[in-house]
Amino acid sequence: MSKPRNPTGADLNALADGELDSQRSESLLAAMEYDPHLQAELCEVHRIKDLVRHAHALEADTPAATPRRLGLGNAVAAMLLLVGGFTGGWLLAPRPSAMPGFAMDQVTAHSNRVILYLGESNPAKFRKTLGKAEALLQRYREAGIQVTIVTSAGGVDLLRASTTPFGNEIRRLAQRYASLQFVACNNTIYHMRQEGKQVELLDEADTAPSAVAYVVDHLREGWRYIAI
Amino acid sequence: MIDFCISLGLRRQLKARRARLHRMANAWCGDAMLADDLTQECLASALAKNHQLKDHGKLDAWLFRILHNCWMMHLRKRRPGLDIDEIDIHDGDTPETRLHSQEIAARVRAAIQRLPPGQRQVTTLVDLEECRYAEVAEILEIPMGTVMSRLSRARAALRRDLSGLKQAPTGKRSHLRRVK
Repeated sequence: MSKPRNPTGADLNALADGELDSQRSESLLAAMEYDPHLQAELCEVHRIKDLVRHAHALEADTPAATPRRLGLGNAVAAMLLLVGGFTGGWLLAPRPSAMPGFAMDQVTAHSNRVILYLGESNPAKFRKTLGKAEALLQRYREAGIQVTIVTSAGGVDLLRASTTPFGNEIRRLAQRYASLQFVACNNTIYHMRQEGKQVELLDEADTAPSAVAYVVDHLREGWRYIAI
Repeated sequence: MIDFCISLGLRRQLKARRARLHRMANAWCGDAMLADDLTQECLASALAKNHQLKDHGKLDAWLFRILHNCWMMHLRKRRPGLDIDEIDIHDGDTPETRLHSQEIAARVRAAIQRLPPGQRQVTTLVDLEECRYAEVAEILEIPMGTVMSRLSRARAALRRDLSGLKQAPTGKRSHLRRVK
């Protein structure tokens, strides 16, 4: 059986442009979940595409080109939005043609549901994530805010019993705020175990099959997304 | 009578596409006045050759191919005998762009103008018109592999050129944000 080849720049361009078939797209997105470098590269492609569009934007009343990316392309577009947010720090502006049913402008109606995404094993960011979550929960308690901390790649260390420096803090927050959830990416856990790491999560943590899919699904439902 | 109806329908379709054609011409040549001329030339040519359009579902690709031919004709007249990839890269650093150097759009447009024309065409067709690679190959009459390699080189060059731009391209509020 041949080993899958490493993604090239052309592959990333093709993914961003919706030119890859479903099998190749899925394998590339799966590889990306554990590879910050690839995430950053894809984010850069996406950033350049956005800049080119912005530089030559049509007047508002001009009929736009017929959207040509349908089906898989839409799912990939959503993942691109997400992966872009994961690593690049690029602020993604709403794009009317990005995806039917996925207009970021509409999210305001549900802005009391927030995902905080953490993809890096960094105690300072762990602290910032927990602090941000509590600040949101306190400030918008009356509005019935729900906050979910989603972790992937190194971020899962926040929820691992053996690696987190914030176990007590997480327990305290979970007891105090019923609308706060902690989610770890099962894909990451699987890969960690493949590498021989012991992974035992805190009792407060749930798992999702894939952090990318989890966040995309929630974005579709109108959740706001903040990458830490 | 049938010809008249076809012509009327085509005129409407062309009118609806004029702004997009102009945008593409402007992105390619970097000169709004020349883009006006190229767009007019393209539309006139499309009307004159309307019988050549066999598949109306491919109207956009057909029009961009005509626009491409118009621009190539212009470049050949200006500098005969040069291959598209050998044409000197326009600097784009004009007084006008310097005046607007703080504006992201102006900087990006200047960066696009610094690309070799072939790369500029591929990246704008893909990013502005969302053309499939196969469509771009058809419009520009080049192999798919050339489309992909030009696109890779164009994006790499834009990335180098625009590496300092780290803010959102629009003033609109986004709900995806990073907390530092």
